Amino acid sequence: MSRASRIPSLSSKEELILELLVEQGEMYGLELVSASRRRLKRGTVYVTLGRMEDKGYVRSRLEPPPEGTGGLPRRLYEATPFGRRVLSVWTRVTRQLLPEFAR
Amino acid sequence: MTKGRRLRQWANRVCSARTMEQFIDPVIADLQHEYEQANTAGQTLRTTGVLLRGYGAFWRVLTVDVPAMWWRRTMDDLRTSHQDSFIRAVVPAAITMLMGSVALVVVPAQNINQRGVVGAWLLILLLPQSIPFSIPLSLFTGIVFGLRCRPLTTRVRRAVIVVGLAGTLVSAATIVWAVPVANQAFRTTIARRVILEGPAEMSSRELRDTALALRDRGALARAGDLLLSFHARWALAGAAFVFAVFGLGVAALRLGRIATVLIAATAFVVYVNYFFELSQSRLSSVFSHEGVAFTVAWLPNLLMVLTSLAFLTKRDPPRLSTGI
Repeated sequence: MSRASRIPSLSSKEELILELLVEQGEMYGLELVSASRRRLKRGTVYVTLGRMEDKGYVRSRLEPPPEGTGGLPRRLYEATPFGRRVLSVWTRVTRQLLPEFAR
Repeated sequence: MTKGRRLRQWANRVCSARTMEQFIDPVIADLQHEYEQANTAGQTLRTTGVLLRGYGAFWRVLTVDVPAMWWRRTMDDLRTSHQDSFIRAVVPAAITMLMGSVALVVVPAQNINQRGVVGAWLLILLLPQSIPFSIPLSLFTGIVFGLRCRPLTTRVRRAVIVVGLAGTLVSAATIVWAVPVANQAFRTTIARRVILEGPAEMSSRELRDTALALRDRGALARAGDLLLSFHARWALAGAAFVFAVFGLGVAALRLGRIATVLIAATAFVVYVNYFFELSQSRLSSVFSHEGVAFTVAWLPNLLMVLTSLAFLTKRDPPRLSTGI
């Protein structure tokens, strides 16, 4: 396994999703899209969430199916303790690095 | 009827359970939820907007995001330190070369001289020629070294086949479309005037039509040359897939590093030399029979695939029992 794959990393979209989930708790994909002010797109948000789930940053559960409509149940996402820790370290590191490279 | 149900049924036939669960179902659930809300509130205009956005998201996920995610997972399946770097080097190079070739079509060959940037253009014009050789060689080397010490699971085999097919598609596009255009532009740039196309500058269709016309006129040797060139183009396009499978076969042999390098070098030199020798042979008139030209051009591919299958069916020797 390469070194890069051992160190957890966050893309800008993953960082944004984790920030929103940590701030606002459990959310639907569509809620994340509207809370992100167009930085996340419906559709692609689920690809990012799926990848984050694979990495262990978020977990999801299905809400009970809507009564009477026969529609599909929606999926709710929340940050895992690991995801919160990665975000916290990531934010701290980028805050420290940014002034160094902004000079 | 519940909105998106038919789309979901259709997607269910082409996507895995995991893809459905992670990507397709949430998009359809959003669509249904938003539609239900708008419908209950009696907002007809909003329901139309919801449906348009929902269906748009569905098709985007299915045609762009799921294939992209699947490709990434395929690469992950193949990922090892050696192979990863090879594939990472090959794919951008192939794409850059292909994009360069697109520019050639946009900029007519005559304009190249007028712009006075001959040197740089000559170099770019030669790039498409290298793609059909660089892709199979890079894929083969990457696969054979990347998989040397790894179990060849079904997922790995499938991933190799996908990568090989992708390489073949890029090669085919380059050989059939970009190489003739680049060759003609190269000649025009050198000659500083528009000159007639030779066999290497003709499109595949032109090549075949000219060959058949020459055969009808009795010029068998010339027709044979052109027909062989036509079939060799397509066979060469298939080389990426053939070499990917051959790499898998060689990896299954579990040879040492030196033996692997020797096999890789020999296979590639023999393959390229075969086509060179054919083009120099005096059997041109025999190749004017389409079946002969086709068979001769595709023979190396066929032999390599058969050899690879033989390698892949080779079983590891049974391990000695360490029974107590």
